[in-house]
Amino acid sequence: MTKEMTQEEDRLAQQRRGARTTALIVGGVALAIFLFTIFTNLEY
Amino acid sequence: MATTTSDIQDEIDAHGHGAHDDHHHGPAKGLMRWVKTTNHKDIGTLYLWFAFTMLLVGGAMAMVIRAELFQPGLQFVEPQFFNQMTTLHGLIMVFGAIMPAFVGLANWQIPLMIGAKDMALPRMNNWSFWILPFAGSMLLSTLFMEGGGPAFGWTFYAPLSTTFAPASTDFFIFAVHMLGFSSIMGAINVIATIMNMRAPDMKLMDMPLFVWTWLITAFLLIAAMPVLAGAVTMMLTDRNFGTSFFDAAGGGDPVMFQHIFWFFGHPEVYIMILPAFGIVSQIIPTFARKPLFGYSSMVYATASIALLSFVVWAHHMFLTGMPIAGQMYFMYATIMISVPTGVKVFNWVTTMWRGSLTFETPMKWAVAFVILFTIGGFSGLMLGVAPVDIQYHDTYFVVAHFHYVLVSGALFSIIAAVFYWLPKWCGRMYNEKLATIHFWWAIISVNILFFPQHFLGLAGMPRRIPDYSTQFADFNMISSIGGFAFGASFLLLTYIIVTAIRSGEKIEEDRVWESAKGLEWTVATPAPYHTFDEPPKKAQILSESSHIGEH
Ligand code: HEM
Ligand SMILES: [Cu+2]
Repeated sequence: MTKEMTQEEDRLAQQRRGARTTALIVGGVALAIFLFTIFTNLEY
Repeated sequence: MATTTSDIQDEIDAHGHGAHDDHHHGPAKGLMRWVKTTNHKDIGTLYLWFAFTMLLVGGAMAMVIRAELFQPGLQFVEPQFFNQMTTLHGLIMVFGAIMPAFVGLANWQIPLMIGAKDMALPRMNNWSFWILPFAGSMLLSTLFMEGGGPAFGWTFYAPLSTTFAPASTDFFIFAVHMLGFSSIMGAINVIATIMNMRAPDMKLMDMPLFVWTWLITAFLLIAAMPVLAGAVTMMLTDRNFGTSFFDAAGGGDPVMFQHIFWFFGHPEVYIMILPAFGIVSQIIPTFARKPLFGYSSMVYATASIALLSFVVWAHHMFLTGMPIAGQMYFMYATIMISVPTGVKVFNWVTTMWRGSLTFETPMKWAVAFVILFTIGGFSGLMLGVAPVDIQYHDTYFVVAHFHYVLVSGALFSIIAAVFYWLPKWCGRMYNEKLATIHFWWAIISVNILFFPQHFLGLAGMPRRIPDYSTQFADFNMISSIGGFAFGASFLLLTYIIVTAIRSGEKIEEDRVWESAKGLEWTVATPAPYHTFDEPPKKAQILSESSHIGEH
């Protein structure tokens, strides 16, 4: 493996991690909005 | 898709050596290619065919509606069935046709336009799609259940959808949950892809407008769909588990349902139009042979529309008895949306101004979009004026408004996009002559269908009724005739698209339209199964940017 190759692999691995983190944050926000909608109305 | 067990066996054999090294051969064969695919182009194709099927199903329901309304009196269907048709027509078109079609276009185009290999989360992508056929079938199956399908309108106001709803409503709720889940996963994927998978040298402000508008749409989906899920969850517990979120008898509040629904519902209408803005902003520069006028103002206008869309929801509720101050606020906030919308229309027109215009089919649809969407925008403005909406609310004027923005807006942009990118996808050209005939047929009939509905509404004809008094007879007959003609135009559209895919004239050029800009035109035609193994370089990104004038 050349040095360049490892850099490229590194970039891809970082990209994958980034994608997963983004997905978790965004998914978490969606879940929070869902729960908020229901629980703010729970007094009824 | 004819598949034999031996195809499936081949597929199993082909993958016997492990799931991870399937990257550099082409698509698998047979049915399993489509079931197991994680390829953004395959999934885009699946979404688009699903959406097209749903468009035809929802369209058939529209034909039933227009047949019943052809004349006063009851002719073809029972009132209860008529209500099921209006309800399912709306739900199928919104959640089954328009939204999945845009997600299909996103799947095909976003990776190609940002120089990415694929979507960021390909397996989730497969899930997002495959939920849809189940959700769609479940929704449609309610029609065959005892008590019939949902008949409370696509807005499913409580208590019609809770206390007084048919048993099948629980299946409707489950279907909406699944559709919402699919949309949220799709939105997560779009955001993760655009944020993380862009070619390293592409800055946010280098992105084509279709990508920008989809990014903003995805944030709208993330904010709006969970609210819808919350609404149907509360309906579910009200119906089955003794809560009374929306039941006044138990201390709940039915008007609260409307607030929650429209807090989702108004952003939802922008979810269905922002990607359309993106498409038109791609097509017009290509056929005007000029860079898009006002790229950055387009981005900011889209973001402003998205933000404002969360603070205007109660313009759907002017008649629920809100205080004058509330009416004033929602009226002015609504009217404010015309400012960024006006910016967009101005930019499209200015892009065409003194351009070397030609009117190939995608451009025809894009120009039709600009004109007809603007008509819908103006009727929206009228509806946003609180004292005036007291007259118009729940009349055919509203029906005319939202069909101008959704049919001659959202749907026409999808048709434009398919004519624009299909040659790249398939390496084959559609028949320009037939497509032109189809264009004029559809444009004329859609206006015969929806324009008279303005007059019906102004004269006071209520929406969602199977019968009407005789003063409304003439315009209804005209509208129905336009409706049947418009419906028939989709048979021709189907023929044009199927023959283009199967036997259209082969195209060799990468850049199908000679003045098109964008990374998608730098890959081979037809687009290979795998593209951008290597991300494109800075110089190429800049020279493909459709707003090159601003650099
Ligand atoms: C240009 C800005 C717009 C304004 C000011 C506007 C305003 C309004 C108002 C005030 C209503 C409520 C009318 C009533 O029920 O009495 C309405 C209904 C509606 N609008 Fe718009 N609108 C705009 C654009 C759009 C767009 C772009 C779409 C979708 C692509 C859309 C889709 C709808 C739909 C579906 C309804 C009917 C909802 C129902 O079933 O009751 N509108 N609009
Ligand atoms: Cu609205």
